[in-house]
Amino acid sequence: MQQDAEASPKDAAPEAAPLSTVRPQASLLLVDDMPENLRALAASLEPLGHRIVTASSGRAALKHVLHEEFAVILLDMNMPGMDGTETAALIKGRERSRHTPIIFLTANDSSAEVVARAYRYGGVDFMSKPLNVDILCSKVMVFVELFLRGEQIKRQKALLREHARELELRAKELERSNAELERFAYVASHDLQEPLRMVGSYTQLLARRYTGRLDQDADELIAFAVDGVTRMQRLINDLLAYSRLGSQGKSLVAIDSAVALDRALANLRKVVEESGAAVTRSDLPPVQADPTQLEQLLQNLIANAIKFRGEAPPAIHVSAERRGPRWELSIADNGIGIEKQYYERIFIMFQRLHTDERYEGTGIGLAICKKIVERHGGSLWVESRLGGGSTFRFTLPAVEEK
Amino acid sequence: MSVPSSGRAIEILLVEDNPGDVRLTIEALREGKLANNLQVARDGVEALQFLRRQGPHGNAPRPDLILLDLNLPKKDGREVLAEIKGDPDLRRIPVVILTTSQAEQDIVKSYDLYANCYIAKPVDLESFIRVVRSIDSFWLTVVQLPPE
Repeated sequence: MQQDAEASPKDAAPEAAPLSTVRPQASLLLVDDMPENLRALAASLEPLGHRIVTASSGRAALKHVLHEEFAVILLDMNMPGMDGTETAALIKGRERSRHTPIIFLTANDSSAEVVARAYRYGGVDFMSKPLNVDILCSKVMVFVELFLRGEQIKRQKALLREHARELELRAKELERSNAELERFAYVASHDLQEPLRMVGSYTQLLARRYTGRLDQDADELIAFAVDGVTRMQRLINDLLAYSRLGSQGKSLVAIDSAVALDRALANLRKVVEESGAAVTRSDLPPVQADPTQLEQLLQNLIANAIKFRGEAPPAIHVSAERRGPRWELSIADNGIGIEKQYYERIFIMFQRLHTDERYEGTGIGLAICKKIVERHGGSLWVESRLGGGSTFRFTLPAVEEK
Repeated sequence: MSVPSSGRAIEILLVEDNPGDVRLTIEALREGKLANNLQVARDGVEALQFLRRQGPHGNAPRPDLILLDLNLPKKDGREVLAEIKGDPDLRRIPVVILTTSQAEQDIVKSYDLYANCYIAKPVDLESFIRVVRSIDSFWLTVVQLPPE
């Protein structure tokens, strides 16, 4: 009883002390009906430093086995009442002790038949009396070692399970807060539109009705107000468009990326014509995508390639390459290019590298592209050289062949 | 100038709670060429009283066209629309939904309730004026309205 009480705190906090500083302890169960045998056995094993539990009958041994897990059991074959093999059978019959190794202790004159019986009843080993203490200790140590390793693996398994659960929880939490944030962005941009429409409409009405009828100073003030409101409307519209990507995205279907490109180019016809851009393509594959979003993605990237053109008329090439389960699509241009230090920054919402006068825009286009690609489980990146053109690459899931 | 056969001015009922939008609509219509009388109801209950000539609106003219916002106090635009289109006396009056909502469910619901057309208010003033004027010219000159 007292031994049980001392064992439980160790079981309760196995990770509290690192294994390297505290020697882990195992429990050994010694079963013999002769008290002097038990005493001798215990004395021989004491130096190993493990907890020793003794039992003077099969019944007492079973009781211990019920309450505690042992690294190894030393079991006397010849006991009155329930003998060694019977006890072993019962031990093996219990779930908790099914795998506990048993070493049978037999009389010196044991016949081969007795030995065979010992093995049949689940013994892993047997030793004849009188026992050689060194050999006994060595054998016990092997099983203790095995047991401790097993325990360690169990602990690590539990820890891993714990970590997996924590990760799962955290993923759920992230998903939830992400959805909340998206909802917030949507509501904020949607509800801000209403009062902004008023401010915008009335400053524009003011401009319409009074520009040129007051003095030059008034004209300038009105112009600033109109300009500010126009920019804010653009920002809010962009924010709304961005937040809609997640909430109103459709499921992915197999579509021809060449068709999506055609549609994107049709939307850009005017700017393509005006800039004299030449858009060429290699064979483009079918991919798994949200059709509207793929069209928008290609449209944004090509519009960018045209917008950030150099002196020469824009030359844009769209191509695709298979990468395992995905396609990597590339849009290469001959534009002004981007310095390496800005490769990441250009994809962040409202981050811009140029003034509004030079290149108009809010800085939402690439953020939208990135979000679209990420919604498809892919990635989007740029390779570029200042003055040497840029290549935007992104991956999309390929259509699985049936 | 085109006017209905009776030769009277066109009557428009604007159902809109936001005074800013009321004024904008008035401004936009003022810039149009058509002679019209614009009446304003500020919520759904008032709109129906006006149409049924109840309460303070006993002498209200019967509108030729209704411009209806969806989000209104007391009784919202969807309910007003349902009541108009469910009323044999009123259902012939064309109802133009003029709202800030671009939500698909609002659009579908409005047509389900027999709205005659659905227009999302443009954010930009120029576009707004253009839209109001096109409502004006389409419904009041292109379209043959039912006799009273």
